[in-house]
Amino acid sequence: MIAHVTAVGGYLGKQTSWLKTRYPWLGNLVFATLLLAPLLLLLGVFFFYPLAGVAVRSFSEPEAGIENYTRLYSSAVFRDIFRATFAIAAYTTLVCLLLAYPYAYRLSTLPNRWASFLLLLSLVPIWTAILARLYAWTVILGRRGILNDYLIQLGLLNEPAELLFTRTAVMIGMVHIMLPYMIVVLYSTMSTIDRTLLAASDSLGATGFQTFRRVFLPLSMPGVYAGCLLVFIVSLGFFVTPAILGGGGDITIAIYVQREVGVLNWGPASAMSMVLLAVTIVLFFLFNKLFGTERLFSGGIRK
Amino acid sequence: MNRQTILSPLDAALWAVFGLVLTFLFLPLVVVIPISFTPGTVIQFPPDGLSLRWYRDALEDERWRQALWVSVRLGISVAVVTTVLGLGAALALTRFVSHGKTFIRTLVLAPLIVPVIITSIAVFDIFTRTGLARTFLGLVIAHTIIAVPFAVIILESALRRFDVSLEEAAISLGASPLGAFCRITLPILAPALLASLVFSFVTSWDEVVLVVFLGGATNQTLPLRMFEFLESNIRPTVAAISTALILATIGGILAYYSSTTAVGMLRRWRATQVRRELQWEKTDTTHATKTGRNQ
Repeated sequence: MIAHVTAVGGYLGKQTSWLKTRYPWLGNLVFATLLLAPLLLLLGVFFFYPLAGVAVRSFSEPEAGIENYTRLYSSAVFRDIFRATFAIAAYTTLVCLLLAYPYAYRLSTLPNRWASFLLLLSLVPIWTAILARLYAWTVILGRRGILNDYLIQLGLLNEPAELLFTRTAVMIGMVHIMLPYMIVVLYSTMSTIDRTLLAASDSLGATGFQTFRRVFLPLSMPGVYAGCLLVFIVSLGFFVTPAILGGGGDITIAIYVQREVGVLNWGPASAMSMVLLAVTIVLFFLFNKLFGTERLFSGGIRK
Repeated sequence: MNRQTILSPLDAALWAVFGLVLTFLFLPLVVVIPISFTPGTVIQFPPDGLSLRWYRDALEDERWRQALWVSVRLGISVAVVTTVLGLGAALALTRFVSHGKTFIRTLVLAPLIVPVIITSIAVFDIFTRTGLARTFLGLVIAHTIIAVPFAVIILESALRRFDVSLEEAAISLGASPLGAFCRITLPILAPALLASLVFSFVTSWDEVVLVVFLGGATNQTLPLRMFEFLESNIRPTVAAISTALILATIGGILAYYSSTTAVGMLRRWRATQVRRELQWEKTDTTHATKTGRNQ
């Protein structure tokens, strides 16, 4: 039976082999096209084409020219929007780093089994519905919320503090969302640091702090840069968190874009989107140049 | 010993930070679950009683039920479409594309880089022109766009680790290329396919920005309904829904891990079976050669 099939196969192979020898790339090209076409068509029609449309609109609406962009530059309203967006993203990144660095350091000093369990535990929030978490923050931070209740009961406050619908609330929500990512990136760098280097520094008479400052910290810097860039890039585009926890106090780029597109005021919204897109792409290319994107998804082990 | 005593206050401080961060990460979960059992309309923590009132409130409301149904259907559709498209692209990238790999990969990963708010207005624009806005199909397409990068990353890395010689062995033993793919490659890829399905499902399940633009009253997903609900009030109904979602997520993670271990166990079981058969053959042949030599 097998001999029969192989014989037939061999015959067919011989009959079509001229095609292969003459156009060796043909088969691959046909397969590649057939396999990639559905996805690329979908992305082309529903993603890249309308994205180009947004770019065009930023120059053409309400009237042709670069007026949308010059207004972004000159208007105080737009400057405030940019300042709020970048400030929130920068502070979120900083707070994430300050919390995640000691956390990841602690993880990296634990035995492997414990470290991977605790790492998994710290990733649970990623898998929790985003609106469930935001709801929790509104309940905790609200005017008659849990935190105010406790602070008043403890006598630390006389009247409820305004916590919800402030920039602080937005940043608490954003830090909570981005912190697990920062932890993963930092931990993946720290866990690859060669422990014998620390032992060597130690045996050469360095104090614990010196070993950390001059050996561990420099070796962990790639993770710090990668984590900060990642958190900053993602934080720039946040929409839901400022919408729910900010209560319209701070207007970020994303909130402005959503509001203006809602009333079909496409020109300024498109221009602002293009600026956000340009910043994101530049930062992303920097990230890619420095670290390579694949590393992020292959568990962070640098080869 | 000496060094440890010097480091121990620092050690304690590190553990303290560690504990605080972990508490912070779990705080929302810890708060939401008890609140969902609040008996009154006023939120108190911890609640002064236990009641399933808000669960009933959510279950009896036609709109919440409908939103749940839309989300489930949408998540499953997106998971399947994304994984099929992603598998095709991953196969092409690992086996058939020799030039321009980086370019194609950049195109496929672009939706991951572009902020979702920008993707949303672009998709909103094309959908209003083509009549796909506020339709179920439109939501499937929109969610597929943002979920597909994950699928391609997961499946491409799995295919790159896959040993092609296994497939070649099957073909040389008489399997057709398609047969070898279905019976050798796909089972080996099963964990990656599962991961891709889970990732795409969760991406759709928890997506808010696109549905704010594209979902209408008829296609209101659970996150959209929650979003609109939260904008106006903070009744504990959302706590009940959130708790259900959290429990479903934890259940999902557990199911995922148990299924991957189940796949692993099945494979190990099959491997021992095959090994046993081979051993039988081996003992048979050694026996045969021995007797042969003796003769």
